[in-house]
Amino acid sequence: MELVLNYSLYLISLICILVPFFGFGISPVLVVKGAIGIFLGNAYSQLVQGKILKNFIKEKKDSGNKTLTSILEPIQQKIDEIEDPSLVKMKKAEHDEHSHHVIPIPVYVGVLLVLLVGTAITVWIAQFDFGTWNTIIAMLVATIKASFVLGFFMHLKYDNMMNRVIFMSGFFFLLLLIAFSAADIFTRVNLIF
Amino acid sequence: MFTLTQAEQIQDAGEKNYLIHEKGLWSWLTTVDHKRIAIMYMIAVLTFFLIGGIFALLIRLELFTPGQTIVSPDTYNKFMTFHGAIMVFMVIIPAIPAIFGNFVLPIMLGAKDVAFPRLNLASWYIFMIGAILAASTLFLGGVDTGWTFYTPYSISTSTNVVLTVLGAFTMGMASILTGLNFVVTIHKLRAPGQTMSRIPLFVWAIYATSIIQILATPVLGITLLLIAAERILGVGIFDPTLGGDPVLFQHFFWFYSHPAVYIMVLPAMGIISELITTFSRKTIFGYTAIAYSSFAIAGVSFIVWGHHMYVSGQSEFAGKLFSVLTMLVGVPTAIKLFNWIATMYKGSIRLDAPMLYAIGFMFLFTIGGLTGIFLASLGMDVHFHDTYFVVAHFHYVMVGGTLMAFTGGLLYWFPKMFGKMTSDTLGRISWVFVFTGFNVTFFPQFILGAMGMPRRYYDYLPEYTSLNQISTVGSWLIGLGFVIVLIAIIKAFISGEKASANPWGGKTLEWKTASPPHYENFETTPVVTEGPYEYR
Amino acid sequence: MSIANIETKHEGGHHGFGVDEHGHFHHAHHFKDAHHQYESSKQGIWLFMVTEILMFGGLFVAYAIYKSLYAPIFHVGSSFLDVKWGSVNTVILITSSFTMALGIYYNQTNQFQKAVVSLALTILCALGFMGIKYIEYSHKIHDGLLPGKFFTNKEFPKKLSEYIKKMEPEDLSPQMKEIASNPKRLEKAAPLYFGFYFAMTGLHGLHVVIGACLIFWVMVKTHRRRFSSEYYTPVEGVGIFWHIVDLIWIYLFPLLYLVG
Repeated sequence: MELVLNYSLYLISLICILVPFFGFGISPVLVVKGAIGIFLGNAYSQLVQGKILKNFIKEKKDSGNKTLTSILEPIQQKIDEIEDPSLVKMKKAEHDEHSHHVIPIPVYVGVLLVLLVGTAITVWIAQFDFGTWNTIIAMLVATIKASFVLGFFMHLKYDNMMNRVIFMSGFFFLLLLIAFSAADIFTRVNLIF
Repeated sequence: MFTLTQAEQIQDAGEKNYLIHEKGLWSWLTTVDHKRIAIMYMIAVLTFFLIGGIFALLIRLELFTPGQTIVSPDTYNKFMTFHGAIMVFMVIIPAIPAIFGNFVLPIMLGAKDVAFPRLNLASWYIFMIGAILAASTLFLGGVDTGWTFYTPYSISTSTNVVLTVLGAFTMGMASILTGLNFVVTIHKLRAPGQTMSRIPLFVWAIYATSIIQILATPVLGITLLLIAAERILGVGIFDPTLGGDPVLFQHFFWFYSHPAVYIMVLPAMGIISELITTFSRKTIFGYTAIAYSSFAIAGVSFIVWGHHMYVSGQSEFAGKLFSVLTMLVGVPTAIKLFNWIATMYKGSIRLDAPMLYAIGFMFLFTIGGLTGIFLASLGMDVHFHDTYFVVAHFHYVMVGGTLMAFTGGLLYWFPKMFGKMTSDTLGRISWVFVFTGFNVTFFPQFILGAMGMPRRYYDYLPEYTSLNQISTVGSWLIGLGFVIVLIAIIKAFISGEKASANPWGGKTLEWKTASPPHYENFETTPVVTEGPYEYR
Repeated sequence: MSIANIETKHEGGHHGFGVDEHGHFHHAHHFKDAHHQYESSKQGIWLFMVTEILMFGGLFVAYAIYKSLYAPIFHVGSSFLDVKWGSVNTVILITSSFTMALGIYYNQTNQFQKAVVSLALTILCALGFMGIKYIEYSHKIHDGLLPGKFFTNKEFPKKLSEYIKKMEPEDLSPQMKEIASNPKRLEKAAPLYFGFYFAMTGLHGLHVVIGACLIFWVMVKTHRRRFSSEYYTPVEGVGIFWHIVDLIWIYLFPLLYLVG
């Protein structure tokens, strides 16, 4: 019962979100893909939380089925590792192998040169008028320079994924701000400032 | 009272409980213990609530009759600005995250403290500085722009806008730092065995709230700074005589302020999830759905802000876009509500005071939320915008919603925080006054709005008088209700029964510590092996 | 939930933050180990940087919108800026980013003398940046190119009307046409550009000053050997803040000086 309710609510919300954006043409495909994705995700979490695989392995082990358990046990271990990294770490011996990645100086010098060249390019290219493309080109060069600063000086290239996601999310929300504000300001018909 | 099994008997923390572990005012002002910081926030927020509440009563008193009742129009504008600004920035936004988030979240995660305890203390000081900055305008002539500081009036008015916006900016900083602290705590300080699918729903709610705080508040920050710059330097970005666009101010302002209302309500919903499951003595129905719906609400909240601006000069296209998107937010909210109801179904329900407040929330927030959908509809909003319908809507969700959840949470966690039980009878009586008074105050306002009475108006047409008077009487009932809550708390401090570790029979980790908890939360680090609401 | 008892390792007494006199680092007691603390601190620092991006981003968004609406005003406005000084400032900030990264590197590898020198160089660059800002601002003040109600420059409205005359009418937005049709309004329109100029460079300059103070603080602590390869998180944190300041300028420079 819970399953039916949950799935129907998922489907309804998916449809409500996708249809306004993608219309009735593309949406059904996306809805189906979304539903499959959600079903798989849900099945996985039910598998883990309900310990279905774990109990199954136990049953088979008790009844002496060696081949099945030898295939399934590594899978269960992998699932354990994904779900519970802290518990797994506790079982292993106490390591302290967390060496921090140190970027060698030549790399820093290289990045510095890239940035200086980039600045020169920015100034040089500004003397040509490409009309509306001016801003886009300038922003492109700036973004390339920025990615070097972010990746090397700020270490993001060697950092974990979470910090990158965190940082990029800032830009995404900024995008929302400008997209919707622009959607208002550039569709104004009357001059009401 | 539930009888605890042998295994669940927790020793009293005795000398090591956080309240008496270190003594003296200085130890409180320099504490890095998240529990003490929570108490400090609580004292501050409750004081501001008292001040904001007094302004509310004064507003309603003035509106008892058309024309002048007790104050002049200018003073009335200042009252309504103060009521709004104090309640929004100093009470409702910080209340649940800074008080209960700070106190309960680390314990629920099995951690010893938040990720950055010293930053936590700094947040409190920054919050107090901001509050003092903003409150100082009380003595310097006040502010009369309304809490939304719309340009061009906020640029040209002679009242103390700069001080107020600087105060709000500072309090925003505190909000950001608190959110940051919670996100890292949730990511990094969970106890062994506590996966993300085993954390309580209150934690999920605070998680979503903290993300909104981090992403939305900076934009408010820059907007407020620009107001200050315009007033001091005449920068001209929002001034129409210089080519600026006042509506752009509204875009920037509401980019924060709409997600802000979800900062107000998401933690409240988290509390309700906790209360419903504990007092129905049943596993929460649809844990995953409720957890993800918090994020869905947070996500959608960022793309709907234009619904505050339908009639302000925004283009029709934008209005339609925002209208459709706003309707979406009802879906995850409804998911939560239905899941709570499903939790209660066939549960073993106890109508203790916290549960009454939770049920009150469900009823009042539903009305508030549904009227929000009315307002989301572009055509209807043209009629309702800036009328009392809007006022009633947001009071239903903020007071009927967040404040009831706050009070429910307060009565629920009071034994944990202070080791004393509050009188359940007093709690229930307070609920009767708050719930009844609330409906008497704000339901007539829906009707007033539909009849066309504008909001923020000092004067009104004679035909609105009787409903206004009913509304004012209701405000006295609410006031009385909260006074009873205060009495219940004071009585508990003086002569309350000693609380056991788990007076309500809850299953989340905070009920496994002593009441009040050990200063490091747990004597030994817990290891979590099952979900948070395993009642079977 | 059931609780198993796990004895936590008891750290003897309370140690202050950072490396003590014997060069040992003691992590805060609510973290499992030093690495746990380091990772958490880094995450906190990145979360704070997101807020900085969003705050400046708001200004960029407003700038972008106004620039598309009032292109001539922004074009003429940026012609009053000196690209030479802007480029020099860009080079200075990029170099300071490099020296800051070196400062972190030397702390990571326990070469504290060199770390102090690198951090000092970074502060020098910051001061150089502020010096040039001072030159630029004093030129503006002298020419009356001030924000909002203090704007008194006479050349700007003349240049602006000349530029608009040269433009095709279709290239002007309706809002721009409205302002251009009224000479008085055209005169008062300059603040639209210079308001942004001062707001953006002013806020950025404030962050440069704050950054310089923070770098000074970590420089002193480095000198006192409070950091080591085991613990250098504050240096890295300040470094990340400084690089954000540089990042913002990397975008500000072309937008304000070049593309107008």
